[in-house]
Amino acid sequence: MADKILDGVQTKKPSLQDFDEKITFLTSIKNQISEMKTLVDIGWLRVNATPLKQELNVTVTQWINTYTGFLLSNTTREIANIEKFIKDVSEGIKHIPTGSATQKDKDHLMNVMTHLRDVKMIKDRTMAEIEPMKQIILLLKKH
Amino acid sequence: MDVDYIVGLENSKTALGEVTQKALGPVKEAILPL
Repeated sequence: MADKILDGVQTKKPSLQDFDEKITFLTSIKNQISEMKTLVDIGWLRVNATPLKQELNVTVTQWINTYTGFLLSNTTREIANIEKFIKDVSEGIKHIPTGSATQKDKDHLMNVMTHLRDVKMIKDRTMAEIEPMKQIILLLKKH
Repeated sequence: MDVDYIVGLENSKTALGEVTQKALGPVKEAILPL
């Protein structure tokens, strides 16, 4: 049942602290690169480091985006799954069965019972996931 | 970030609480005799 919420979500991942440390490290590297001199004189030789700085900047930025992009896409996917689950259940329990005489009534009853089972199984785990997801969003805002 | 995901999460938390309350409360009570 948890598949409904975790569909397409990567659950085996490094800790949030690991992500924070890595992104902070890469950001500091990026700052160091920007502070490097563009023109360096080595004796009679003048080195123009602009192309190298640009390439390094692009590479580091791509790595930062890889880490932040993963966190963002994984979290937004889980949020979307939760929203879909809420919508499906809300729709599914909108009309409460009044009998079970016909096959149609039985199907309707089974459908509602399935939603009730899903809610019971998923609710606690999903509620517990909300705070860690908030922490991820706060980390992304920080970076 | 353009979208405020924190607000979205809070809304989802509230909506999940409400739908759970309805599902495991009045809906469950109503179908129990069936």
